[in-house]
Amino acid sequence: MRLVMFDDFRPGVLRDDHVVDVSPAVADIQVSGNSRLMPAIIADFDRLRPAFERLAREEEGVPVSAVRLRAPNPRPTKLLCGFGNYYEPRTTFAGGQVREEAAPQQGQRDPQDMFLKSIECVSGNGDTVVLPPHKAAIFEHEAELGMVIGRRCKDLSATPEALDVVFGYTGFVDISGRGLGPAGTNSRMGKSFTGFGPMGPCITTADEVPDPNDLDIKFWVNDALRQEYNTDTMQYQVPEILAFATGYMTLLPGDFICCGTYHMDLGPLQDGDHAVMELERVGRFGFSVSDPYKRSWPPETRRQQAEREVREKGAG
Amino acid sequence: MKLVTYDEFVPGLLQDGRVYDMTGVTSGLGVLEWDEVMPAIIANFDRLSDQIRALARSGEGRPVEQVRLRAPVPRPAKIACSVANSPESRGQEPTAMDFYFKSPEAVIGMGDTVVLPKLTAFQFPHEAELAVIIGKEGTNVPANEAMSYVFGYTGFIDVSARDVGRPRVGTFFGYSFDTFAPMGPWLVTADEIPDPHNIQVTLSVNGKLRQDYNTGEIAHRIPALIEYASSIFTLYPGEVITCGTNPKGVGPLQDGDQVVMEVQKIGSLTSAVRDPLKREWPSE
Repeated sequence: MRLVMFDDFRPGVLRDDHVVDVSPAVADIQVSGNSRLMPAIIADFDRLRPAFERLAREEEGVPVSAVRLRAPNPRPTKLLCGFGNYYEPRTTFAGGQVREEAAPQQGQRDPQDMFLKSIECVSGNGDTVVLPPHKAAIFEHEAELGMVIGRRCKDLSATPEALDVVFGYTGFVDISGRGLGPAGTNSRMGKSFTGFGPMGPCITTADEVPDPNDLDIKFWVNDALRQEYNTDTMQYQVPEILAFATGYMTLLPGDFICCGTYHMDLGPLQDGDHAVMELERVGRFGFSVSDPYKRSWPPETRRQQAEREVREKGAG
Repeated sequence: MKLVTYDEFVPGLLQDGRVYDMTGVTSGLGVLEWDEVMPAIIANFDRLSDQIRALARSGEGRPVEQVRLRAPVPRPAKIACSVANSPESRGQEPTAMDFYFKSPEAVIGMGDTVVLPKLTAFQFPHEAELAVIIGKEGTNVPANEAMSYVFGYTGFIDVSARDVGRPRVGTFFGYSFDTFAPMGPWLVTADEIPDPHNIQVTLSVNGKLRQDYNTGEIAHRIPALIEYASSIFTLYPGEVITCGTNPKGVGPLQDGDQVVMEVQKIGSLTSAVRDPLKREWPSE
């Protein structure tokens, strides 16, 4: 099942390209506000699922183009991010050429780590991310696999059974301002600005994602493909991420984890950009970027920048 | 005024050693989950304060020794901890302000136990801090208005696992183990602490004094912390900003330790420490 939030943060089921409003099925769920509704639905999903399925079968719904999709988990109770977590191609410059070798697999993994990102940063399809005045060296996109936790858990083992705690998967962009904080620290606060967590288009429930470590991710800026990778290249795969995180802290229904990305295909987000992310089995969503300060960077990935600099050196 | 959360996460007024149940004052505040109760009281405090004060005249309080005190805000939606806000930065160019988020699941209350995780760490140190509790929603709050966003203060021990995760990166994830945030013993409203930059903070382990500093020594003061934090993310009532610590006297926690933190004008917060692996570190 694909769950969405839309318009005034109503819950819906996405069926093909139609959204079916499932608010009637959650009328008895009492929460203080929009941000608590999806976690409450998730915690009670076994009971609610048949009603959602019936509404999705029986109601026509409205075309998704006629609604405003919101982030499906707009204010997670926690937002955990994998640090790095992908094998970074080794880039060398020699003989006027850029050579990339994949880093050795298994046994040569970087130490595992994670960090917490602001729960206020989530934004949704069609939103405009406004760059803050802070003097970041650059603001970059990091398109990642995201997952929403389905039940309270702690101290999981890194086995396939760990995936049972995942309610579903969604696309997420960990937008990152670089170089902030004390000199040389590249503070993670650069990732916590309002709107710096576009999420969407829906949560695909885990039963429709047999292997989260076999999903294609694509990310475009202004129709130019920037990131394209499969989640099979994660250093610590999803069960290991769950084991690591739950070894530190209890996870709750509605907690959100994004799984990291590799860095060679990261590029700037700047004023006027329109970005689109696609996650296999989940779908596509987009957002715009605005910068009141009109800062600009060459619209290229780190890899393209390295290649360009090698070419320019060769030409000079 | 002193506010507490106690027993099954009931909000309370603490006055003259007795705790008065504040649940009744929340009846007009809509649906509230357990962790939303104290933040909702804080958000509506101006409207509720007379009603809260009247509770003490009802004569139905219980001695505070007879209740189980929880952290006054038992699960803050955000805990933003100051990085490197220590005195050695002063006199030189101040280190830029920075924060990390600490997991809300880390919070424990008076008399609870810090449980060390089994992973290998260099050390599990304590950092005794003054914590600010936010009183109203704020974004881009200018420093000269920041103190009006402070609802009150409480004690906070920022426990961490050192030297875990990626070297030299500083994700601060090692600060976010469950139980690594003893908080309390209660919340004291801002009117009782007109100068939070002149508060003595001490921390003793097994009766031996370790940390002893004054909040006047911190590099970046509360208005600057609120201004910077709110320039990155919106602050909401009941959320926590910790002010950092003086690293002098910060030392390891280990199995069996009894920790007592005292914050002037607030009170004493006691924590126990348990290590399933019974590791030992030299205390000096």
